[in-house]
Amino acid sequence: MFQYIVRRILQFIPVFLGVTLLLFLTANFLPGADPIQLKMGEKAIDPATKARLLKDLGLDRPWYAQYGDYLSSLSPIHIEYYDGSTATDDSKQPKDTFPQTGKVALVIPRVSGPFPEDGAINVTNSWGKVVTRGASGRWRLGNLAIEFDPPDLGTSIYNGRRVTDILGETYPYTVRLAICAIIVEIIVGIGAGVISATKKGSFLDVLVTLSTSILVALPVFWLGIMLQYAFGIWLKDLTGARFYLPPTGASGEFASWVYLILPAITLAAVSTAYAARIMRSQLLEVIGQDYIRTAYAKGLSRRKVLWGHAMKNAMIPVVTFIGLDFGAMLSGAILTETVYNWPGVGYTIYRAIVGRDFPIVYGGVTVILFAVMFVNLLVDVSYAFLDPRIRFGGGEQ
Amino acid sequence: MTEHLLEVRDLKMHFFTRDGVVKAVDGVSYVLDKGETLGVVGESGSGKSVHALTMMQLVPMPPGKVVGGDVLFRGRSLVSMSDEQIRRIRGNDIAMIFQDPMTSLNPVYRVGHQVGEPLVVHKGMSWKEAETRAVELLRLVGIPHPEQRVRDYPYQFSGGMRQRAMIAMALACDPDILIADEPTTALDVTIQAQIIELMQEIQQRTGNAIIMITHDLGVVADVADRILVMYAGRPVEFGTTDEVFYRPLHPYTWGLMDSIPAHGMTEKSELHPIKGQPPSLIYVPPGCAFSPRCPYAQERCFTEEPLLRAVDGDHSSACHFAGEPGFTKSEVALAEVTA
Repeated sequence: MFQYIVRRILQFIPVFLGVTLLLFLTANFLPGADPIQLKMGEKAIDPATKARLLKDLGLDRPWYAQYGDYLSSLSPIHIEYYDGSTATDDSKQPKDTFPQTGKVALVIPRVSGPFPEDGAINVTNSWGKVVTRGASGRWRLGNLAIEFDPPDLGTSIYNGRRVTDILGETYPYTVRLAICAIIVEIIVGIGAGVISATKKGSFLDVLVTLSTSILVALPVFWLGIMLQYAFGIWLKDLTGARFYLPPTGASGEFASWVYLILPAITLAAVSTAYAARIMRSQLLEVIGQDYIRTAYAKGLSRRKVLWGHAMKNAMIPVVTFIGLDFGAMLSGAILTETVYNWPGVGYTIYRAIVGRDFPIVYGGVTVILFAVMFVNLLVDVSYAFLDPRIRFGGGEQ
Repeated sequence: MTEHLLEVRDLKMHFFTRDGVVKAVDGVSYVLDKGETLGVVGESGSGKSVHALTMMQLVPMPPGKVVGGDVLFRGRSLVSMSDEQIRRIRGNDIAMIFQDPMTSLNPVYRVGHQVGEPLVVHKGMSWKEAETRAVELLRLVGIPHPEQRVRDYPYQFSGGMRQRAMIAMALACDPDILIADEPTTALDVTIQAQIIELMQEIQQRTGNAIIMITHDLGVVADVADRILVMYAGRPVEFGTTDEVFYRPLHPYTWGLMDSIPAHGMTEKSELHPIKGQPPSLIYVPPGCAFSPRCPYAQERCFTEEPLLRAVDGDHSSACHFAGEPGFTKSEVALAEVTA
């Protein structure tokens, strides 16, 4: 099991590099207004100012150098090489050699001067930010200095705020929405699928089959607007303003959850319908298997056969689907977040793309990438837990 | 009248489908006593498996429906039992082994769990006790290193081992009747013999009754005390193994025996299959169901349905001509050669 997890984590590395590389390529060749112009608004920009801004932001260098900057600032480990030359007082302060045009940053940066033995040093990093590196945080290995830094995602071009701060504010909204939506999906989707399969041909089955067919065809934004209309206006009129969603005057922790109801339902709707359909078809298939007949022949009750023998087999594809869907929800639901003015990461990234605020795009995608990878790992592990053939790496069939 | 262990009385199980009524089992009767082995023989679709599933109420209803007859287990009617009552019989008093051991075990549970499960359900054992007992059961059915294998999953077992595990599972509660539905069909020939031997051994030890359902006359020849031959949902011949093998009374049984490839056959010798296909169970031919394929059919066979009747003691046949002088397998064959 441990080996399996390690193998899965190692498989993340090429995925991560592939996605981020593709992202940098796309961003670099994206047509449209340049970020500096968007930052400055309508006004004409003095070319010298523009050049300085570009340099400050590290945007004057080719895309692969920017990619190198991105990777190195993301890495929690920094390595520098001191050549040990005696330098003048002025250059004694080591400089990051990253911002040199055309240099691929994956090589270990070379710093003039001897290894600084003690004292804090101010270093300007590749994102134009001055950071203080304490001597205590450094490890010396011959002429190599190894340092551990929390990953840094740069600053927004538009307002200069740290991307980690921006994502720190918006991501919890997305996570909270995703958790609520996935709870709806698990309870309603699996529940409806099980009822539908066990009462095949009944009124409930027809109802589930029909409503899921309609739901998968509905556009999310339309559903969101209709729900707002139904619960916020129509229901309010009907009950004489006694009950509606979301209620006014909700405050505190309660409010943060009550405002989630409609967005969560909207976000969950389509995938809940899919989950119900997968659950239904899987359970029907499993119920027809020989080992279910064996279970009945042993004298197990209907309930034990269903929950003990059938569900564990039927759940395998459902867990995969819901797990991957949770990953998708964690990457931000642009439509749902837009319709409900939900300040989540999807909406934030969407605005950043429109505004060419690349550090936010890169940072947002990075966070999403890690979240999705983590959820996928959880799905794989749970999959292995459900299916012993995967856990032990094979066997026939 | 003494009470039999199992008494099947004119059992009829029909399936009501969109295409018509499928008369899968249409009037089967026999009795089975403790320690006996009954062989039920017939082609695919002869109703031999369905009749067993009907006793256990394992036939999906609808479309299936018991339209007549009864099955009495120790004098109690199995077909009219409630879900809860039949549940207490299944796996406890009557256990079943199925054809395909590859798909009959649940892939996501350990073998020991599945073998011990009937004990938890019927005997109120804890899972720990059941697993300890499962080790003994696996040893009984000849699985090496049962202490380790009990923690394996079905995919780690070979086909023969899985069928042994299925037998162990069926034996867990020491049932009175063991129904084996084609237990060796999916296995290699060498493994087949081992499984049959194992079942005989266990019968000698426990004294349970066995219903061996198979299409292979060779399988029942060694183990069965009595044989029921079925065709198109109906019994066509019933007798002791010796009677059925040495003095068969129905042309269908003759055909089954002729179609077994004989020892010492070369690839050049001709096989003797029964010509034609088994009839549709929706449109069963009028008269004798076997008449369209029967080389000895007379006019009467196409119009008048022959009933299973005792011809020679308990040896019975559903052929109009059974018991007539000259109408035996060897004499008919002789007449053909001389003609």
